[in-house]
Amino acid sequence: MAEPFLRVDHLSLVVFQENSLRQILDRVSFNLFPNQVMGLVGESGSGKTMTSLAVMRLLPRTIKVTGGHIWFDGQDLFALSEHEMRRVRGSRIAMVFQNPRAALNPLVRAGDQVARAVRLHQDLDQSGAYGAAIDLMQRVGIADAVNRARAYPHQLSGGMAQRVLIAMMLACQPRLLIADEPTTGLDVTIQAQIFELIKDVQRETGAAVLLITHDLGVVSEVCDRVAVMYAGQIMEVAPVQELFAHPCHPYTQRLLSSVLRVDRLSSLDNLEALAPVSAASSADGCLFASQCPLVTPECLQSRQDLFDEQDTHIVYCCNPEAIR
Amino acid sequence: MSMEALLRVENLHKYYREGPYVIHAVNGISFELFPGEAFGLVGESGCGKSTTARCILRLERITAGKIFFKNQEITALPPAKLRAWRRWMQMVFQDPNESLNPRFTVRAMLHEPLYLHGLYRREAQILEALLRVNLEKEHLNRYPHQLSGGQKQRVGIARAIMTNPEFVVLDEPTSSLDMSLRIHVLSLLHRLQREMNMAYIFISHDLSTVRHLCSRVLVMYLGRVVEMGRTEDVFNDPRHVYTQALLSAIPIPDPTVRRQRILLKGETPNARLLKPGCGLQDRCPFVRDDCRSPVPFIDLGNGHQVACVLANETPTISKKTGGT
Repeated sequence: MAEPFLRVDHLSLVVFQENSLRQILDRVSFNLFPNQVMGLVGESGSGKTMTSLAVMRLLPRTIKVTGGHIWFDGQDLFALSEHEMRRVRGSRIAMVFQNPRAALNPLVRAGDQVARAVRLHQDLDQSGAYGAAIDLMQRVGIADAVNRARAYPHQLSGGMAQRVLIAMMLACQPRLLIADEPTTGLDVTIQAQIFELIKDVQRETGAAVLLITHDLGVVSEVCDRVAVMYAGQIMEVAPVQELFAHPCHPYTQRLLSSVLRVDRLSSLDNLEALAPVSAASSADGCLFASQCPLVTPECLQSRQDLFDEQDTHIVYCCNPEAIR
Repeated sequence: MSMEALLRVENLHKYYREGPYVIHAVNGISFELFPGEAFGLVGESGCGKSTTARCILRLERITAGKIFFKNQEITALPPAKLRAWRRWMQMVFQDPNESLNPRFTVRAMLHEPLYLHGLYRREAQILEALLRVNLEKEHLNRYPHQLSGGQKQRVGIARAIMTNPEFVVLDEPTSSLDMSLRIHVLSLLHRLQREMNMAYIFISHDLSTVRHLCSRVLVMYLGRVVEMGRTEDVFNDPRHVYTQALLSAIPIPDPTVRRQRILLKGETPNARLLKPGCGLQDRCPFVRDDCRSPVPFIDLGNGHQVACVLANETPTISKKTGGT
C-alpha cells in the first residue's frame, strides 16, 4: 500500500479547565492516503473537531499536546515553526468550516475574497486574479458567477456561501482538504449538491479529504475509509463497506444499530440512549467500557489494537470475542 | 377514515409584508388532523411549515382561511375565549434554551400551565409529569442552566403535556440534540403519544424521524402542499418530483444501497416572486408547459394526494431500497 499522506500517531491533547486537566484526545492514530476520502465520525464531544484543528495546528491556547505526532507528506507538523506552518496551511492543507457565512469576511464582496485567495498562492495581478476567481466560482457551480461575485456574504444563501469557500480553497490547490461538518444547517437537497461538488473536486485534484461528520449516511455515501471516535478515543478504523458490513467494536455496533433510516422502518420501542460522551478520564482503559455489554476487567486497564490480515481494519478493543 | 377530525385547516394563507414586497409564507394549506394520530409536516427551511403550525395555534395572525377545532371555528375567537381552548392545544419548541424561562425552576415551569387553567390540585401532578418524561424528583428545583440539552427538551415536553392536551405541535423538537439523545426523545414522544392518546403535529426537515414517528405526512414546498398521504405510501412511492428529490437526497447509512438521485437545479426561489403553477417549475428536471398553470390535486387513493401533473407518470425511484 502507498505511503500514508497524513499520519496521525498517538495524538493526545489535554485542556486546562478550572484548575484541572481534562484529557480530550487519547492516543488518536489514523492514516490518510492520497486520493482518499476519510471520514471521522462520532457524536459531539467525541474529539473529531479537535483532531482536525490539531492537524491545522489551530488549537486554542488552553489546549496542549501531551503526546504524539502528526506527519503530513513526510513532514512532522509539530516540528515546524509558526512561519513554516503558515505556508502549509491554506496552500497545502485547506479547511472548509461548519458555518460558511461566519468563515467569510462580511465586509468584502465574495469575488474579491476569492481573488485574494488566488493572489496569495498564484503570481497574478489584480484583474488576472479576479478573472481567475470568476472561473473558480463557475467551476464550483455558481450560476451567474459574474453577478454573484459582487454580492456580500450576507446576500448569499448558506449553500452559495459554502460554494464560495470551496472556490477559495480550490484557488490554493491544496493536497489535503479538511471539511468539518460542511453541510450543517443546509437543507438536504443542497447538502447533496455540496457533497457532489466535494467529490468532484477530490477526483479532479487528487487531493485527500478528511471529512468530519456525525451523519453515518454521509459517511456511507462519501467516504472510502472511516474512523469512529468516542470520548476522545478512536474505537475502530475500517474501509466503509467493511465497517457497515462487519462492525467489530461494541461501540460501533451500538452506533450503527441506533440509526434511523429513511428507507426502512425500525421500532421506536426499547431504544436506549447512550449516556452522553463523558469527559475522558486519564485512565489507560477504554472509555466505552462503562457502557459496554462485553466489558472485561482488562478493558479498564488497557486498550488493545487488533488488526485484520490486511492491516486495513483496526479495532481498539481488548475483547477478542468482538472480532469474528 | 370516517372518524371525526380533531382539527380541520381550510385553505390557510399567511402573508408577510417586507417593504414593498409581500412574502407568501403559506399559500392555501388544507388538511385534517384526527384524534391520537401523529401527523408530519415536512419540507425544507422556509417552506412555511412552522408558520402553518403557529397559525393553527393562533400565535400568528391569519391572512385568510379557517381553522376548526372539534368542529368549532377558532379562526376569529377573541383572545380571552381562545385561552380556554389552549388547554387542549400545546406546543414544544425547537430550542429549549429560548423557550424555557431562565428565572423559573422546573417546578415553576410545570406548575404554571396548571395554575393558568385552574387545574392545579396537588404536587403529585407535577412529579408525575416529570417522571413521565424520564426526569427525577431531584430536577424539580433546578433552573434551566443546570440541565443538559436533552433534559431541557424533556422539561419542554413535560410542560406541554401538563394540561392533558388533545394535540401537541412539536416544532423540530429533536434538531438541537445529539444523535443518541435524539433517538431517546423520539422514543419518549412515541410512548407518550400512546399513553396519553394525544395527536401530534410533528414539524421536521428530518425525514427519517418523520417516517418513524408519524402515520401520515404532508410535504410542503414554497407554502403549498405538494404531497400528502399515509407515511408508508408517501415514503415508499413518492409521486411528486419534489418529494422524490427530497427523499433521494437523504444519505442512507448502508454502502450497499445505491440509488438514483434526482438533483434539483439551483435553490429554493424567493417566496415574494411567486409564479402561478407548480412552485418547483424552475428547478424540476421534468417540467412541462402545463406546470405553469395551477396544478390540481390528483387523488391516488387512501388519502394519498399529489399536486404534480406527472403524478401518474414519473418513474418510481425508491422501490428498490424498501426493506423490512
